[in-house]
Amino acid sequence: MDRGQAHTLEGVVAALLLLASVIFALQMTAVTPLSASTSSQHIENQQRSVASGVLSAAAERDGLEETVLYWNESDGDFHNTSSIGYYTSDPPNTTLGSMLSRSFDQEGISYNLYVSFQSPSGKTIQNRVVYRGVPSDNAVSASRTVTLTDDDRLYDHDLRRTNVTLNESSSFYAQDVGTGVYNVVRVEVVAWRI
Amino acid sequence: MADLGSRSRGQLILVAAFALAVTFVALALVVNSAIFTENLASRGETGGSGDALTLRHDVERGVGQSIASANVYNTTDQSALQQGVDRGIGDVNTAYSKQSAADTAIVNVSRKSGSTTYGSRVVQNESGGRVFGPDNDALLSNEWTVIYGVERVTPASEPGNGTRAFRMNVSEAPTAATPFTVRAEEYGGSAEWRMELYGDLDDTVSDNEVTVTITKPSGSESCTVAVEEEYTIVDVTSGTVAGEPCDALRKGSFDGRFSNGVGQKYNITYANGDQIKGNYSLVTANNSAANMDAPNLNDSYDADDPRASPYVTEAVYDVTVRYVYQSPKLEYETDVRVAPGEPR
Repeated sequence: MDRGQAHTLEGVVAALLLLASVIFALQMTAVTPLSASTSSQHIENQQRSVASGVLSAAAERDGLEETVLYWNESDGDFHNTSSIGYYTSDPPNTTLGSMLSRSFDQEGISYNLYVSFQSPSGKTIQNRVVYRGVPSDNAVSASRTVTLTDDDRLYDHDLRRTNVTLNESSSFYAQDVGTGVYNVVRVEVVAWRI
Repeated sequence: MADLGSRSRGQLILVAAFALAVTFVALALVVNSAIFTENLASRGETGGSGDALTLRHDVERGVGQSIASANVYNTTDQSALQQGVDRGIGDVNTAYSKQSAADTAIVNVSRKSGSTTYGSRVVQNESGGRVFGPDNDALLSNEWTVIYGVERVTPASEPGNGTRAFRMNVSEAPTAATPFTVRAEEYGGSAEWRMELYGDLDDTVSDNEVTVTITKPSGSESCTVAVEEEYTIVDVTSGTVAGEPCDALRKGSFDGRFSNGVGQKYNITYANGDQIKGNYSLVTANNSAANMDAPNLNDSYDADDPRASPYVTEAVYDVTVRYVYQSPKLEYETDVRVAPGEPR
């Protein structure tokens, strides 16, 4: 009688131990770089490459300046934005905007676009251009830098250069901080999977 | 089988279970380290060299804009130009070092002393544009020399050009029978590089197009680009027409880059300038504009004189800057030659 109980208990304990070991081992390998997880390194690599590729391609076509200067002088915000002053659902109708849209929107990737620049007092200020919410923990970022000169001209909503230069503009977001150049603007894309 | 009492048999099972558990844990370690290795291997480059090179490119553009700005506003003489360029480089240095500090990198940009190549900038810049003639229009329909004695600069890396940022904003295009022609003619020689331009830029924008034909000593090639406006920008040295790449003007199997194959020194001439209308500007490397033989150009801009265009001013052709990038993992230091809009 005693012996039978002992055997049964032993069997159960052994089975539990085995099962626990198997589960433990499986748990440790549950997240791999290739499994479909938002924290996957491969996916982050690819998103970062796409983001920096888009910025490089846009830079080659002078598309970064175009977006940075896509400014409505009379309203004091980017063209066709609502009162909040930045784009939310659709990116700006510029070279960079349409490239971002083609690269990310159809892939289920969300992105924010920021511009940061120096204020006259030497602080770095970051403004939103496209804002779609707070990025997730595994967001990636890529950035390029654009130099603006005093006589760079703002673009109208049809992407034609207006007659308003940065020096003449009273509502442009960045101030004139240099003696030779106007300001240096860093264009940053933050992308994440949704 | 040996005599296994209930006690010793239970021990055996327990030991076996432990052994299995340890095996699984070990296996998990091995598998995870393999995954981690692959993860590390599949990260792009981890040293941050991509950032250093991207920033170098941005710095080159920034310094290029400083040069362009100085060539417009600080043209009194060569020392004024130098000061203008230095101010621009100083601003670029300040701004980029601040920006990159956010990425834990130290960036320094400074001009290499004695690295500036001076030259001239020829500009026609009148509202509404003007025919491409000399300042007195006397030789309008004939071939006339825009600038004499352009000399190629030769950086250590590759043979440079002597002309950069040659852009034409064309508002009226000639017909195919009398194409507007730009020639780069070998100085004291007979080799020539020729660009013929004709097209249609009227109110009916749907069929507007511009054709550019390049003829150089070893052959000719052309490209035709559809234009959606009543004007177009032909960037001769960057090889674009209306923003689209034009293969005939670029490096490739044909290699029709501006002045390719005409020797170390050349003149630039225009012909059929009365057939075309618009504005243009170009920067060349040659003697100081002050003592240059340029009978067809005004030596400075005069807004009151309707025939003031084209005019010529002193200009900076290229500058070499020292670019230093230091991050915790990487130190990168190089000389960057900046000649914005040079054929490459």
